[in-house]
Amino acid sequence: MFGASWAQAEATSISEETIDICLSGLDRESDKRVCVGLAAQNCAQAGALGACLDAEIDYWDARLSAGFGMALDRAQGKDSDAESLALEPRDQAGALRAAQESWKAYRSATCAFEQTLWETGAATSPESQGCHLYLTAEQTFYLEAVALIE
Amino acid sequence: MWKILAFAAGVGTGTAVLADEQAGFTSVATETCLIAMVESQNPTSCIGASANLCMETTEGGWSTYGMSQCLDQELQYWDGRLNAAYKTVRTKRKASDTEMAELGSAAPSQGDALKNMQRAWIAYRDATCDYERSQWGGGTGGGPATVSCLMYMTAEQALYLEADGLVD
Repeated sequence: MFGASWAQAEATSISEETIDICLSGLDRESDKRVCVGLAAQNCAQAGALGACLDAEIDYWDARLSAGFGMALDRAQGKDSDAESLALEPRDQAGALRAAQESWKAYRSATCAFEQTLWETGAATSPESQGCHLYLTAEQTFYLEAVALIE
Repeated sequence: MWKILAFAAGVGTGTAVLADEQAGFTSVATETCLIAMVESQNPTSCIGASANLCMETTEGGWSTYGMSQCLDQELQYWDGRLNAAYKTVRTKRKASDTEMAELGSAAPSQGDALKNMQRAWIAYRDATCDYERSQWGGGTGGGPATVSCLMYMTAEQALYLEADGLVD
């Protein structure tokens, strides 16, 4: 009994290192999506798949917020540059915020659609969790890349 | 999602073989690239192959105007594929709704959910490409950058809607 509950507690955390190692092994041409879901799969060998997927979703949600923060910093920097150089105002920060809001609505509508395709129709099904996981990771890669543009 | 990055890097993959075949736009390079894809590769890496070849083989293809023209032609190509794929999925999902209704099921409508998704995608596409345009201020790069963004996003959504899982 003790052993089982210990295993459960352990199983709900994913190895971030798994994701880092996978991503750092890719070349520029590779599809980063191959590194998404691996950590949850490894975690699920010892525990419940649903909890493992949730744990990886949490990881990407946090990484998405950080990526958005970096992209926003960059956009705000560009906006102040334009202002101090008396260039045409760009409002990159406003455009980025609007894009991110529209992406959230897109993620939710896309995963709601996919959910209707599965027997259970539940938001907690692994398929629905997978939709959230992959779309969040993709947007994270996008924002992280955008934040690095000179 | 490599919209802006792929544009900045000039997307140079998979086009050299066909470089001397024909001037102007043809979707052959994109299609050839897609056919050659294996499981572990990402079909989105084929997006832009035809526009890029068009720029290489057209007089003035690398001018702002030339780039916009070539990118727009590949955008139109993907837009056609997107519309066709959307119609196929819609027909399938509506048939499924009818079937479920006949069985007395209270399952949420797949057709409605599909329509909501596509509307949300259009708003997301427009807002994202507005953001990418904002990177260029009033600069002349803003034109091709916007068309490039629309082309990548349209292609990604077309490939998504063409997935077997959505019509099975």
